[in-house]
Amino acid sequence: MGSGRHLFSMQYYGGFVARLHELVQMTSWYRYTQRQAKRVSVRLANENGEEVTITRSSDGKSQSIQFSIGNEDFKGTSAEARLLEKLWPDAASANDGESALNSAIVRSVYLQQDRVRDFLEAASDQDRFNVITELVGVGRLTELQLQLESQRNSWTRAITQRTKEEMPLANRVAELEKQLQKLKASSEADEDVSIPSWSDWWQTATAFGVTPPVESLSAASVEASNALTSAIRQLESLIAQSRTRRETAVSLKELLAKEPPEPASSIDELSVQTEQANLAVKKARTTLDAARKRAAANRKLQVEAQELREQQRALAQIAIKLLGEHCPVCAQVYDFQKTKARLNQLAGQSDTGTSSTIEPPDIIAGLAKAEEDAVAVATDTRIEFDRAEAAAAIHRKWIGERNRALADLGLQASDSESPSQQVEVVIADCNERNKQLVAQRKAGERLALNLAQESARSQIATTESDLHEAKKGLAMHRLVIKSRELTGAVVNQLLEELREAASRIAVDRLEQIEPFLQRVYARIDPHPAFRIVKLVTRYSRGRGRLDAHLHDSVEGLSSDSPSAVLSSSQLNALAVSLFLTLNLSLPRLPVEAALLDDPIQSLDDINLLGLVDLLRRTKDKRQLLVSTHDHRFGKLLSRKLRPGTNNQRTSVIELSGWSRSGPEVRQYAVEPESTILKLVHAG
Amino acid sequence: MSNNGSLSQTELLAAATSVLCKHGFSEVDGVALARIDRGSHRLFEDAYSIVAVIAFPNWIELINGWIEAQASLVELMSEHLSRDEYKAWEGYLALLTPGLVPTAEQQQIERIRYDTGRVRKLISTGMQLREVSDVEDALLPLLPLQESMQDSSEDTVLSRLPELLQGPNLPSDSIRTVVDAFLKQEPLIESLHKHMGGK
Repeated sequence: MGSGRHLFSMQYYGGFVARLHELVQMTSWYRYTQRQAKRVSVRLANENGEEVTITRSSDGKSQSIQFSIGNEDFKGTSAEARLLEKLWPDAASANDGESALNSAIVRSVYLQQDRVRDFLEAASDQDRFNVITELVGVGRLTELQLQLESQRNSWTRAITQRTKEEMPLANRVAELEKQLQKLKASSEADEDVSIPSWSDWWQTATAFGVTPPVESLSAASVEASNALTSAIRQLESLIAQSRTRRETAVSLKELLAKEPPEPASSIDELSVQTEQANLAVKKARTTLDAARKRAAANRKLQVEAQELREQQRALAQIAIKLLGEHCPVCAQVYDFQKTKARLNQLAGQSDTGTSSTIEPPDIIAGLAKAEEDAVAVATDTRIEFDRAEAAAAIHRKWIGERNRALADLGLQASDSESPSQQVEVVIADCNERNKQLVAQRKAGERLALNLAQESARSQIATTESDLHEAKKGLAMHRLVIKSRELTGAVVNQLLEELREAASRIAVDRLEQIEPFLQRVYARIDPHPAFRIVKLVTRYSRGRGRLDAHLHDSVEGLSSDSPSAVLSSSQLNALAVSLFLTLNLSLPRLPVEAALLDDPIQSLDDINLLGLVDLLRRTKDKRQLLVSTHDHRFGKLLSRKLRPGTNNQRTSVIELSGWSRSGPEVRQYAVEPESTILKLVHAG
Repeated sequence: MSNNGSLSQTELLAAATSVLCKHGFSEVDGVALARIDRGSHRLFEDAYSIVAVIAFPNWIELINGWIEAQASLVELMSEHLSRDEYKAWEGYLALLTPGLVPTAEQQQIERIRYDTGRVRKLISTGMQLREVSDVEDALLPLLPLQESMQDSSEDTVLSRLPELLQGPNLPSDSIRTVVDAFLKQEPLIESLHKHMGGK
């Protein structure tokens, strides 16, 4: 499209606004569909006369875009790509191409009604700088710088990570070097040590009872070391068994040397004697008891007789005192004298008379002594018996232990050899076997060591190869890091240059724009004092920033906040000045037109007249589309923007109403003046 | 030059004539503003406007005389323009004086400028009219727009980046590689690294 992008026509929601160019005949009308879809089309033409139609459709939920040039139609992302390519090629390489194009259009082509002062009031100084740099072509440079910075950070982190990854590689090299050193030391055989033959050793080991893992195992087998280890363990076990047998034999030998004595008397004889002694005790005790019982019975009889006599004497003494003529009991007459004599006899009788029947005490004592003697004899006999029995038990126990030990050693008591002799033989055998087993084990260990040395010798070559590869990998890794650091250094230098270049170019371009802005602003001349406007750029925290500064040259006052010193009308005038400056001063525009959507908001008469005069001069440079709802302003525009020559055209399109078929449009051309210089010609 | 260093009335009128005629205006010789000294004003016309430039000797005369001058211009336009034309929108009254305006009187000047009742007034006084070029600034709203940037090159900043960057150790092909990668949306540093034969 180049520098010749012109706007042919616009189609609004559901309706069509015929424009302004005779070359394009509009035949289609777009209306609201039953699904409430809306559609807007814009037709453009390039310097070659090719027609470009951009159509945006919306169903209220999503939007789609269509791009047509010549006979080619594009939709969706391909349409967006073509749109960027044709309208704002710079944006094609932007992170957000649509946003870049949108920014370029709204700041330089299409002054939106509700965003007139956004650039001055709402946008941050950084946003303003970005907008300006986008328009002057530095936007991509800034994006390149930002992308490069971001990727540089990732690049640096990756190098740091690679540097960290170098440590394991270096460690691996060190480990391999250490391992190689060990292997070389391990592979050096001791020349003084004789190494047994592999087969001989196994033959001997098998003879000792060692079980080989497989029938024929060679020393070169990978299982050789494990088999040897297993065999040596078995030898250790055999050595332990042999030692245990020897210890058992030694213990038996000591047991045999400590045979306990057998009992002096026969247990049976002592048993008979004991029983006899017990019987004698029993007999003596029975005799004694019988004597004692008899003596007790006699003593009882004596006591009873004594008690009877005492009772009779007491009664007689009482009766004597009570004797009269008659019986005190039955009152009969009795023989008083005779009775009294009898009573006196009874009262005077003595206690003797039965003593001759009591057992004599010396007999009892003799019997007791006999019993005591019998008990003493029985006790002594019993003690003797117990001693004999204990000695017999100890001997039996010794016999048991001896027999068990003999059995453990696999010996039997024989007539030809005593146990002690047999034990001595066993001990001698064990000593010899132990000696042989230990020798076999040591030989096995030497064999194992030899195997390990052989293995070490075979590993040296592999380890040397691994070490070579590891060193190579480490060197390559370091080379990569160095190479990437070199690239990083170039990137850093490029970034520094880019920052300076972005700033320099932006400032250069702004310096080019600034006088023109001043001249545009001065045409409207909105403020009596702040008549000079400057675009001031600065860099802070790596980001460009831009402010509009107002200056009062008479009083020497400045303000970097136009909204603080300008009225709403003056601020609008400044915003429009800035918009037209950008539109008129940029080397490339998305569309070489200026669209001003109701630009007179809040403009007072003086600023409005200034704007119209400015637009009048702008129309020679750009295709202008100005909308307004103000009839008076519309009239003023149609007058001021009337065609000055026959090759200029001005159309007024009045949207007088809306119907279901779309807007009611009245369009008419503004005719040029028939007599241009009336006063001059009048003169 | 006047005594205070500003331009004289004659110089102002001469400069205004030069500027306006250079930018497409024609000086009107045959008619003049009624009741205004012929020597203190000039009339100009182009396709869109009629401009009366009046040079007052001082600001007091300007304040006292601008209404009469405006009335005279409106009369002149009425005589020569048809009734249905928007006369006010065609006429411009350029009021110039080399005289310095006291600060206290500035408001009177501004009041005149903001009076859009009949024709638009362009006013410049002493401090603003010290050089001949100041006259062009004073008449700027009447003059055509001049192109600002002459750089019509189709080359983008990115395409010219190798020549724009001035680093001593930055080969232009390396810069070109980064720019190409950026345009192709490829990894920038990887592309550069590859270009540099990096590992």
